[in-house]
Amino acid sequence: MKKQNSIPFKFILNHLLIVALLFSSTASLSSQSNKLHGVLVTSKQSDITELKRKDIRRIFLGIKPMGNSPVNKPVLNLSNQKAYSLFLKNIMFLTETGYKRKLIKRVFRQGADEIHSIESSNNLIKYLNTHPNDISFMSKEDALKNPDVKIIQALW
Amino acid sequence: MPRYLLRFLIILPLACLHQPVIAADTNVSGFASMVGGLVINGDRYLSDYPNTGIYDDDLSFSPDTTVGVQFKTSLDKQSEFIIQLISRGAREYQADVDWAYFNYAIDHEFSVQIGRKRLPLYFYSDFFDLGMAYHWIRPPTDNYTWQITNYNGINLYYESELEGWDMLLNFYIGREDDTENDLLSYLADNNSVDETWKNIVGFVAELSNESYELRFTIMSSQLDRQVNNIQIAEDVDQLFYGISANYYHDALSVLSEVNRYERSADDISVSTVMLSVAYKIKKYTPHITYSKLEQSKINLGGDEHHYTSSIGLRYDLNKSTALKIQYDNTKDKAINSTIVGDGELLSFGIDFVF
Repeated sequence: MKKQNSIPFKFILNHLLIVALLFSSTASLSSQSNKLHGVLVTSKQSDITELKRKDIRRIFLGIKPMGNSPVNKPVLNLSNQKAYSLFLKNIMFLTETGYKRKLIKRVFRQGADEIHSIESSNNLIKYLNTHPNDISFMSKEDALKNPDVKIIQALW
Repeated sequence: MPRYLLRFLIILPLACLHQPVIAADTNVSGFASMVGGLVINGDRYLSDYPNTGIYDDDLSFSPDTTVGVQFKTSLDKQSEFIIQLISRGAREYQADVDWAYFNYAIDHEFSVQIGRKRLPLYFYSDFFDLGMAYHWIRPPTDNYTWQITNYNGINLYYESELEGWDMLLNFYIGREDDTENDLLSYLADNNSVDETWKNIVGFVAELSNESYELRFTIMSSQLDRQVNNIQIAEDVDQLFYGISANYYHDALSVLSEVNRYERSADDISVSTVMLSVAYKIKKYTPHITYSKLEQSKINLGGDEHHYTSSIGLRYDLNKSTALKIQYDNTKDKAINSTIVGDGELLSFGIDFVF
């Protein structure tokens, strides 16, 4: 028996074409330059040394570090919105909305760990000092002002 | 699922909470959607096919209201047990075990999971109830119409990066036995319909980066069906496949999905499509969506065919709460296989995670 074509081919073609055009429109978008430098930080007592950027991204997506990694958990620093935005752009390669969507899906679809976030710079310093192997990010300027913080590496 | 097993699965993580020697690290998290709505034109509106959430012209808060709680117990760095209990208004708020599985991380990229999970057919299938993860009140109803939404089995995850793209591959096998299936029993004039999907073999591939999200899905299985304990189908092969492509740029989201289901022995083939555009303006996300399901006509008379146009608005109250309002206009064009007829629905709600 001959089956009917249930979805108009033209409809599918049209809407795929729209998506394709939108895909191509961003190809020429260039990245914005910025003057705020970001660093990966931990507690002064921590033994953590330089991490691969790929691993930093995985950790901040809630994927557990494996093997002998000394890193315990990541902490999102929301005290400086510009540093947070640049961290998402340069390390996570995601928009804030995209990052949040990815995290929430990972938690409830794959059972990933939730990422702890802290909105005050002082509280972040206190937190890192009581959680020596947790990592976070901040502006280089802020990190240099805090003797209790250890800079692991430059991020951007 | 046997009752004793269900009780065990519920009690186990709760017990773990009080046994720090056994489970050093137990997390509890959850989500909820409190949704109200009413039909403003038409008699009834089926908003949740799998759980038969149905609105009428009286304001109701049950059809789409959902609460989920997830317990996760890490046994060591590589092993964890995860259970997610979901209570839905459409199912009179009984607690269903949607997820209950043991996860073992083989290495950085491979993990194997065994237990009960959501069946990942469509793009939103495995986070269908997680309202915070999308802009609608519910994923487009014309697409998410399947009677089987879970399976018991085993799956292998591979998660890695490929030239700047996040890649997720999921290969799964399993089976689901559902007695008195909600949707099929409703469509069979409340006769008892038992449905089994067995020998399920499926594969999902996802690729995503900052702007694009692509997903391919395929699943084959065999179907058994009994109506009032009389076998009407046995070992019937079925095949599902689909592709999704999403685009995100700054405030703009364009979401699309095309899927097809085939059961050749019964000459049944069903196609679904969805296209949605949303634009975020500060905390507001207005959106517009078109979705459609169409079954090819068959000799037996099946001709399910309905489509929906929706507009809505999401307002992000804070990082874990969103308010939503949505208008849906569904046209049911079937002659023999009408579901509930034409209908216009106005619904509103609040989603949050905790």
